[in-house]
Amino acid sequence: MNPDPTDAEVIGASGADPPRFAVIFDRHVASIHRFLQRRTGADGADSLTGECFRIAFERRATYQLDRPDALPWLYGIANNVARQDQRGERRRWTAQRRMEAGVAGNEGLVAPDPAHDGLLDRLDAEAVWPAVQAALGAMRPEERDTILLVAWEDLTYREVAIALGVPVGTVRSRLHRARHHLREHLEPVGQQEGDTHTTRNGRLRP
Amino acid sequence: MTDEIEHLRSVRPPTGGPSPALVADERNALMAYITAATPDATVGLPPPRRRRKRWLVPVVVVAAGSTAAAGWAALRTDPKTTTAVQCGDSVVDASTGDPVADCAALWLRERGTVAPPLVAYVNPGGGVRVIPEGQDPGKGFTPLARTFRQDTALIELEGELGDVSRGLAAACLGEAQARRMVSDQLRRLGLSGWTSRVRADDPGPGLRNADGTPADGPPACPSGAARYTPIVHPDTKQVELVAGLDQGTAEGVPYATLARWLTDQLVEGPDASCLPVDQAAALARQEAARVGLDESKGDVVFHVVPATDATSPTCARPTTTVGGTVEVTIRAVPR
Repeated sequence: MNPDPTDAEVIGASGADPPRFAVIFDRHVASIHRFLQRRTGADGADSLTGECFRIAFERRATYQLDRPDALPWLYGIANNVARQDQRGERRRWTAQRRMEAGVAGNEGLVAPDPAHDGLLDRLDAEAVWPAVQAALGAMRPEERDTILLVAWEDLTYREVAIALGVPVGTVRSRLHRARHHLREHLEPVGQQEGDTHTTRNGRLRP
Repeated sequence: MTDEIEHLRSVRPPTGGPSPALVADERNALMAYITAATPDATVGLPPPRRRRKRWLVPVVVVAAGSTAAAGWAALRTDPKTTTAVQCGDSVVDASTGDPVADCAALWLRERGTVAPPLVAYVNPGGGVRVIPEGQDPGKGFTPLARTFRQDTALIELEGELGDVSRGLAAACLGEAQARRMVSDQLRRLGLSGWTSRVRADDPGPGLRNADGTPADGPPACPSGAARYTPIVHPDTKQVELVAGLDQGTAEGVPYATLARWLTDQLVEGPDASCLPVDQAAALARQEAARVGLDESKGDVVFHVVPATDATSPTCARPTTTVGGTVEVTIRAVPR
C-alpha cells in the first residue's frame, strides 16, 4: 500500500483487515457530520454520523475501487440515512426554522462563513432565506438532494451522480428542475428586496 | 442563467463540525462494531481472509465451527487467557497484562487526562471489560480482583507471531518453516505442551482493484508457500496457522519500514543491541517520526512494558502490529 493510500486502497484493504476502515472515518467524519448537520440539525448529525459509517463499512465490498475518493459515496449513504430518518426530516425543517429565528449560530440567520462572512452577504441571506426555505420544501426530494449536494457540499455533477447512484444526465435534469423551482420562488423576493436595499451585484435578481 | 446555486450557498447553514468528544466516541463505537461484526461474518459464510489483530468479543456468542473467532470464542474463556480488553466501549489489544493499566493508558492517550479509578469485570464469555468505578458494567458482569492479570506470554506470543517484519505473514513460508517459527516462540516464552497445526483456507477472491490485481499488499506467494495468520487457542493449547488470509505488507509502507528497523536494531540484525525499554522506546519514536508516523496524530501508538521483575537483566524487544492503528510495543524480556 502507498504511504498515503487513496480511499479506494484503504477500502480495498479493509476487506481483509476490517479495522483499517477507521481511516475512512478519520478522513471524512467532519464532512459527513457537516452534511448531516445541514440536513438534519445538530442533534440529527450527532446521532446519524456513526450510523452512516457503520452502513458504509457493511457496504464496503460493493465500493468501486476505481474511484479514489470515497466522499461522494459517503454522501450518498448519508443522504439516504438522513432521508430514512423521519425524525431527521422533521429536524431538518425545525432547524431551519430555528435558523430563521436567529437561533443557530447566535449571530442572526447565517453565522460568519469563510465564503460569506460580509455584512451584505448576511443581509442577502436574511432576505432570501424564507423564499429558499419555501422552495426547498416544495421540491421533489430527489431534486432537493441534488441541488443541495451541489450548492452546500460543493460536489461536481459527476460526484453527485456517484452519491445518488444516477447517471450524470439525470443529475443535470434534476438540477435544471430544481433551479427552475428555486428561481420561481426567488424572483419575487429579489424584486422586493431590490427595492429596499442594494444587494451586492444585484445577486437576488434573476 | 441566474445563479440559484449561489443563492443557496449564501444561506448554507453554518456548521461547527463535530466535537472532538463526539468524533472519539463515534470512532470507538465504529471500531467496536467492526470488531464485533467481523467474526459474525465468518459464521456459515466463506472463511475469513485476514485477521491481523485479535480482538475480544464483548459478549461471546459464536456458533460452533466458526474459524477466526474460535481463538477467543470458546463459550467460556478463562479471562486470564484473553489477549484483549474492552475499555468502556473500545476493544484494544492487551499490552501489559493488567487490564486496568492498559485502559488507563488508553484513557490518557485519547482524553489527555489521568483516568479516574477504574474497575475490571469479566463477562459471561470470559471477556474482560474495564469501566470507571461506580458505573454499571451491565448484566452478567462480575468484578475481577485488582490483582487480576492476563497471561503476558500469550499476549507476547500473539504480538510476535503477528509482527509486521518478522511474523508469520511477513514472508512466504513453507508449512514446516511456519510451524518451526511457532515452536521457537512457544519455547522462548515458556509455553509448554502446545502444538501447532496448519489449516489451508481458500481466501476467496478478496477485494481487488479495477484491473483485477489485489487491492493491497506484495505479490502473491509461490506455490508451496504462504503467508500465515496465527489463531491462538489457549483452551486446547494449540496455535492454528491459517494460510492465505494475510496478504502481507508491501515494502516501503512507513510502518513496515519502522517494524523492519526495530527488528534489525533490537532483535535479529547483525548489530542488534540489548537496550533498556525506555531507551529503545525513545529510539523507536525517533524512527517513527523519521518515516513519517506522527504519534500525536495517532499514526502510531507506543506501548512500553517494563519488566515485572526488576532484579533480572532484560532487553527491549519490539513488536509492531497493525489493525486499526499501528501499534508498537516495546517490552522488557529476559536477556
